[in-house]
Amino acid sequence: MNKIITALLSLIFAISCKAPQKEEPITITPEDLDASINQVTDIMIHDIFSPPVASRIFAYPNIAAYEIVAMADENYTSLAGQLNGLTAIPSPSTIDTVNYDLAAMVAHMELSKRLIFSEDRMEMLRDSLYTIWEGKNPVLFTSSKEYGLQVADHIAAWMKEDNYAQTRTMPKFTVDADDETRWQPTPPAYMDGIEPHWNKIRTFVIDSAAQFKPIPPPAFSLEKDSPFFKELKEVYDISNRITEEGDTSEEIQIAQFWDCNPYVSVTRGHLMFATKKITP
Amino acid sequence: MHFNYTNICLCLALLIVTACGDQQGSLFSNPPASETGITFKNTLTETNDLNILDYLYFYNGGGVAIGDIDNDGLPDIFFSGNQVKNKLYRNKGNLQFEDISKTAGIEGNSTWNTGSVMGDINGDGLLDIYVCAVVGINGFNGYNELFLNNGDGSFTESAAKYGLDFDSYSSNAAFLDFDMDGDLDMYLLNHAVHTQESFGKADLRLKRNYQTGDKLFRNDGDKFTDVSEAAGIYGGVNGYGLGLAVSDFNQDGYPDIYVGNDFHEDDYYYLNNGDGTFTESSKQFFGHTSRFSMGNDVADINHDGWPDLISLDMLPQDENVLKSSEGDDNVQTQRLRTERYGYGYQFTRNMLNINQQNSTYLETALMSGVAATDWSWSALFGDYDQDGEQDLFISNGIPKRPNDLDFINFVSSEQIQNKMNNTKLMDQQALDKMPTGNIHNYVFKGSEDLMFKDESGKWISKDTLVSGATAMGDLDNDGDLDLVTNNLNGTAALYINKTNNKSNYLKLKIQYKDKNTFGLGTKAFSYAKGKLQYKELYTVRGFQASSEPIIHFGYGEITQVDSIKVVWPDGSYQTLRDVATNQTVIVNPENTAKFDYTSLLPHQKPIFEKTENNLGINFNHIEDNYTDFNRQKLIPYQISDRGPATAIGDLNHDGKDDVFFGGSKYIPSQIYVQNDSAFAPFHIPQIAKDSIKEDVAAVISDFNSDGKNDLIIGAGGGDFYNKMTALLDSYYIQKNSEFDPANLPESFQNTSVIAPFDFDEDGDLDLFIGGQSISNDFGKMPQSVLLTNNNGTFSNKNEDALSDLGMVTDAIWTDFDSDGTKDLIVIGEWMSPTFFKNTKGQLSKVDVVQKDLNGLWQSIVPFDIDHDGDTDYLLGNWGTNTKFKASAEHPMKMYYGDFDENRQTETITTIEKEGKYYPIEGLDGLTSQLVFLKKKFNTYASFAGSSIEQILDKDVLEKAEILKVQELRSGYLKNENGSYSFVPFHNKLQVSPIMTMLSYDFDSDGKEEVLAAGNYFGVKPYHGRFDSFGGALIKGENNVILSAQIGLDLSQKSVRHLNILDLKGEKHLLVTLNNASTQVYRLNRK
Repeated sequence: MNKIITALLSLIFAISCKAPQKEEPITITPEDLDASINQVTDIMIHDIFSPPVASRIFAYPNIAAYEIVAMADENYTSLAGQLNGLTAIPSPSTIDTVNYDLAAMVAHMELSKRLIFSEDRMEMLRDSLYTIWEGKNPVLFTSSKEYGLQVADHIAAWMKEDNYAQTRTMPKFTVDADDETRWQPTPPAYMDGIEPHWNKIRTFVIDSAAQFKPIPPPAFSLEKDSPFFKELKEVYDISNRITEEGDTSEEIQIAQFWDCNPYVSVTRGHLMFATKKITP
Repeated sequence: MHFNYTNICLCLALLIVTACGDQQGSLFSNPPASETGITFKNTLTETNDLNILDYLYFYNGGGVAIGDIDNDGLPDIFFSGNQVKNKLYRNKGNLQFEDISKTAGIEGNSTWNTGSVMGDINGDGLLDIYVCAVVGINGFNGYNELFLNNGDGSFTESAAKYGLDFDSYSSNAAFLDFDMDGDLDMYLLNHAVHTQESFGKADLRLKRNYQTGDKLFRNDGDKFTDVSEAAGIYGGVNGYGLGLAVSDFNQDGYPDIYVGNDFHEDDYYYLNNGDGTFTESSKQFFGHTSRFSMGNDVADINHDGWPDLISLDMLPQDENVLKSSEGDDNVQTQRLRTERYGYGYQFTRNMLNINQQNSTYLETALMSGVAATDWSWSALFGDYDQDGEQDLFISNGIPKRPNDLDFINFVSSEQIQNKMNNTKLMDQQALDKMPTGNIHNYVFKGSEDLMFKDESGKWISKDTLVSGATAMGDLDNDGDLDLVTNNLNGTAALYINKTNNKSNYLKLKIQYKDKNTFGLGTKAFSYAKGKLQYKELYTVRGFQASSEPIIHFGYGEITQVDSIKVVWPDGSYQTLRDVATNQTVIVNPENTAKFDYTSLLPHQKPIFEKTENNLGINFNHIEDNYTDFNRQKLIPYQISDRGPATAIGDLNHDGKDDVFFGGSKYIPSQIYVQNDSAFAPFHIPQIAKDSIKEDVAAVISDFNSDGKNDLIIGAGGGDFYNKMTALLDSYYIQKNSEFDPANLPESFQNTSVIAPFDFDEDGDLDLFIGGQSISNDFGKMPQSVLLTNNNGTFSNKNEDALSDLGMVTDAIWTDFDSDGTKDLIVIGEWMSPTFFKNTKGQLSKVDVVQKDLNGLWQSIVPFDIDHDGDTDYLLGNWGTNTKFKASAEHPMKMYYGDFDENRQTETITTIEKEGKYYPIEGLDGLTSQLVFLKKKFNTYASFAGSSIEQILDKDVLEKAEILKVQELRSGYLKNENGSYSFVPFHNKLQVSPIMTMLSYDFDSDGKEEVLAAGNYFGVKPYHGRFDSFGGALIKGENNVILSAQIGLDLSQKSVRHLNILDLKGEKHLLVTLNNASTQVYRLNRK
């Protein structure tokens, strides 16, 4: 008797465990990707990255997401072989069904998390999305997540070789104030030269930072007839004119569009320091 | 039964809280308002339009002044309020006060009052009150008000009548008779605000600005005339004036002025020329000043009759606050500010400047223990415990800290900035981000040898108030000094001194002539039991306050003062003799005679006299631009600035000594040969050609025994690395008039010292070559070598005893065991002085020196300092006037390893605080090299207060090597029958690293003395600048003369070598400096 009861209980237990899982479709919209990118932007503002670094933080997660989407959509061509050093991402295992859009999101969030500092803030977004997706279709979610993470690892391995890490601890830009031809920081912020070693990082498309060498600016000279002085004077004159015309002048609008100065000096109240800002 | 420690703490805390009614420190008690009647409370009302975000000095507080306004013998108290009405309290005796503000008519009409000063402006013998105001920003109205004392308890506001009704940004004012015409003139201290125009070059101070610029007014009887321009007073848009002190700093009879400026503007040191004008001279007399200068005070703390000065800043002690607050500039910014923009060196900490008698000030705040008192406003020196030494009270606190780094980051983002600039939406959120800073007030007990002991929490209870302006006076007429602080959002605090009759005192009340009725500028020199105490009467002291016009001395057990010399403002003096203590003496001018101010100047005949033309040696050492901290970002100090080399010897074979100076990287060395009457540059092409190397050590001698001197140069500089040939030492053999390069065994370290000696006694000179460091791998032990000479060819002896010797800086061959053979002593950084016994050419390390003596040793010289007939060894070390901290119990520890696994090593220097070890670097510093820490600590608050164990993982720390320093003091190894124990020098020899020493009979008294010199600048701005040591002549254990008194001033210079030059039998001192011109002094011999 006891044995029968035990067997029955086990059966009930087993059946209840095998209760049919939800199999709703998981739809990923462009807004989801926007949300992830926005979260990255907010975190970058908090963590304070300079614009060049911000561009790198945007690039890798989006490439990962793109590669996954391209794998499932023949309208898109993979970037493998087109970007320096990028090899084809792994294909998902044939056994599992994978939601490619979901996997793309996972890869985006995972790589973003590795690139920023305040990981907890990225995890907050990720975990809330994971909870929703898992609730809809745990099997699909798990297989897609695993694939997304696999691609993230693949891209991360590529990313790791771009020499960025090495440039972090390279020497700071050395100011030589005795040489008037050289750039030097100015008050009140005395902001440092940013990213003096950026050209040592692997490029994505061009062969190297040296592929398109700009013509050097005219040699420094304060002789009135020198090309340098003339260009300097031109900038000075325009700057005076548009300052007079005020913020509505077309030139100022253009300047503001292009402004990616990572620092702004604050002179309000008790504050006086070089502060860093970001316009991603 | 065990008592839980926490419970005891709780009980104690409870006791303290319950005792709040009448707080008791052992020296001061704080009677409550209910007893005293003083209810003044400087309440701030923050609004959307007026808060710390809108007005940078929102938290600077009001003023306080103590003086007897009704001449009833009891000092009364005046408070000015920022937004609340001023109050005047009449002292009724027994510490009971009556609020007479309404009837007195002093409540004031300005929107925002600041400093308040009592002084007899019209010379009628009654104290008037001048109240400063900020007017013209933030909607502040009104003007500076002058309340003339009617003598009946009422006052009449008369600022306009006297021309003192300014509507500018005033923070304080001081009365002084700068033109010595017998009436009181006025200096008005104004403060700047941040605008786009307030930054830029220092010469902004030359262009006058009505609202922000300071002003000087001459009293012309019924009117004050602005004479600022003619008198040479700066009044620019960058004058953030917060501190103001008047004193005759140079003891020439004319009052001088010190102005403390906040932010980037330098402090001003106005020396009175005696003709109605001043010369601002801060750079000449101060190597560096406080950066965010706040209040200041003046008193003679070392009994030499010359006024010393403290200037306050805001460096926190607490690790949590320290590591989350904005601190000093970075190296390159500071260089731009000083070299390009014309500012002096400024650092974020209090500065204690010891007057060197009309020479540069000796700055000792770190050593003296008063450098870090957090957000400090007022400093007041006074002998609070009446033991004859000046003590120090510092008021403290700020409701919100705008220099909090997380707050700064928050408001730095463009989005927040936009919102804050255009709306007030973000303000409350921004305000909430600022942590509070209600740090307790500090009190320090002064003692001899320039030391102060923190007695906060003992002498006074630790408060949670925000105290600003502070005034001093004897409120209960019991002879000791009481204090009053004006508090923000809290009732004003009285600190009633309980010394009473436990120790003796003397109070002088001055009654002077003309219109200077209270005798401002009167000086008193007190002589008792061989000890001099000196005071000068100025009432505007501390911050936004004036103290009771009295002179107070403490005497301990002494019941009778031998004499008091009173020097009057007009330059006459009289002497009071055999004055009994514990009384108030009223002093009038009587039987006066002219005072001879030159009698205060040093009497010693100068030993050193600067030669006019440097004997033709015009060598200017230029240090190259290499900045170690740009590459090895975490090293504790630079290694690239140890040159130049100096060597003396005959290079042109004419029997006369010549001089070789090394060049820094890419700059050729220079040679000066001795002619008949002077030295002249001399070109040796083969040597000059080799300009790539940085020459840090050199020796001239005949190494190949051909009768002609050769030259060996040690290369360093810290820039070249790995096996770059520019790291190889050079060897030039003289042949005829040519110098041929020869080889030395290869060695790719930064050399520090070359010590030649024939250790194997084969008739030629062998070499010890000390290795100081390895480029790009600071912390790794370089290999020092012993080279054996064989007919002018050197080979490495591969001396085992020298392996892992350490980071060597200096070495001498000396017979330390008195066996007739010279042995080797090597010193260096992060190592102990190491003694090698020489036994027939074999070196062996011997254990004759006291343990735990790892230091940052820089120089060594043999000298019998205790005159007992044996040789002691004087050792130059880093000194104690530093943020480094080391003891045998708690050594400074430097972790060395590859913490981020990027195949490059890093170092993290840590010091102990309350049992835990903290890195000296903050989060920005550490993450500039160790990027991974940014993930671990994404706010400053999360990092602040973390010990090294909390910052780096255990396995990382375990893999690291730890280098240690137990001793930072310079001193000597005392020879006691061949074993050596360390004896530190007096504190005046601990203010800077001692880089070099020379033993010689400088004063030709038949006995040798040691001249010590140093200073060092190769540290990050957080460490300041070790620049105020001018050198010292060490004659014996207790006989040390600072250089200012012997004609030598090597302050603000970093000395590398001292040498004696013989020119036609006349002896000269050659001083080689880093990054400056060489100096030559003639020895004034008997």
